[in-house]
Amino acid sequence: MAFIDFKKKELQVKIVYYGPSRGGKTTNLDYAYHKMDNRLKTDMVSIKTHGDRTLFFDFLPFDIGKIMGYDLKIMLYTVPGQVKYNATRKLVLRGVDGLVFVADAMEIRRDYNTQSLENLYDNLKEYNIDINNLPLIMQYNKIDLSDQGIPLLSKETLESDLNSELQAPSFMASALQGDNVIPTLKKIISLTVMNIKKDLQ
Amino acid sequence: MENTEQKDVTPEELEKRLDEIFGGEDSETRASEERNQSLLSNMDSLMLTLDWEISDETMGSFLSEVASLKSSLSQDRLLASFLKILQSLGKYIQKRKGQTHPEAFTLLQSVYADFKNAVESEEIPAKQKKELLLKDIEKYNALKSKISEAKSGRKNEPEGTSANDSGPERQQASETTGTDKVEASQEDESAAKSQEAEHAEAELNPQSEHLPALADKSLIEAIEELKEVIRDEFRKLREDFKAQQFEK
Repeated sequence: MAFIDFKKKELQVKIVYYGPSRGGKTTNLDYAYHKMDNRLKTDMVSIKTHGDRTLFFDFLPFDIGKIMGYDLKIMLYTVPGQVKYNATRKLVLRGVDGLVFVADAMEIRRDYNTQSLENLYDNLKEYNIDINNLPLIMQYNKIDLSDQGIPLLSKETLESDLNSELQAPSFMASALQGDNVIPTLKKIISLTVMNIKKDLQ
Repeated sequence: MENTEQKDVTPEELEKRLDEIFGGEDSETRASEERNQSLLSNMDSLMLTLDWEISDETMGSFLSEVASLKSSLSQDRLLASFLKILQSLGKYIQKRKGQTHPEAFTLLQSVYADFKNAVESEEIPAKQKKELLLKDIEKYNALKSKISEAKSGRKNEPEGTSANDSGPERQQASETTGTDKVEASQEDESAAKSQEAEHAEAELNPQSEHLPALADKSLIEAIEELKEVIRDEFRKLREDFKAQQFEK
């Protein structure tokens, strides 16, 4: 359930980009930030290692209007994908309202996707969250790499590996070039906000 | 935007609002961004590859892409200067590979980020782009000095000392001094990172103001994890430092 700040009359919606290391979660947020209307632009917070990897999380907040008389504030987060940062991932997941799972479409990264999804299941379980009740989008990233002759998994394979039970809306995307980054974001915001509205009613 | 302030958002209004936020650029800007994106798309991929793997092949591709950009952007002296720095760093990394000064990688990434900004952001005034370049030149020169100081440090051993007796003790002393410095800065950085983690917790979970933050198991685990990561990074730095000392 979204966090409500009664004093500010503000509803804070937490959307988390989850997925394996180097899958493109931060690139998604970078692109969205770059595309934001300058007049509405907020600050994006990133904590990175010297090798430019996400150390703790990335954070991008912005306002999108009112719901039930409350100001809606969307807060986008990424988690560090590397296996060893699980405590951090768990922490970022606390209070999550919507999820984007950014899978890596490269053939050689197939196992990392399934491991990361299993890790997501485990971490949500600790918060007693059923993934089936959570707005979720699957994004299969890095489709631009096919131009460089890098073998990619087909959408069918990715769907069968990751989405056969969940049946979440999915997008083939290139976070680097921006293909389907904004549609992914719009879809998850839409699903999450409508889900919260339903809960509030 | 006005109507969303008066009543609840419907799915259509939400869609419209999101279009306002993310679809506001005019076609000219978009066309220009697309041009620049295609100009730098190879370079973007190569930078990601370098983050992952430094080899003759990746460095060769990087240097040839820099050369190709230099020829495409030769009319713009400012951009060409950024490329010169990238080329010089690239050649150095290609030559030294695993023995490269660790700051060279960070500098390569940051110079490329500034170059990309200068290419893609037409809103940045020329003066600001020049400032970015000057800062990068300054950082590049500082790195050069560090590398040459390290080299001259090797050469400035006392005269009359044979190669054999100059070895272990002095080397150990030098290592110890270096390690001490690293450890001192490690402590500072650990403290800073722990503080960062605490700030991060506050920002991550606004609800947590109702919870005793320090008692939160996840937070404690995350801080421990962060400390371990920092220790790891410094362990690697120390190993690099020792390897450099041995090489000298």
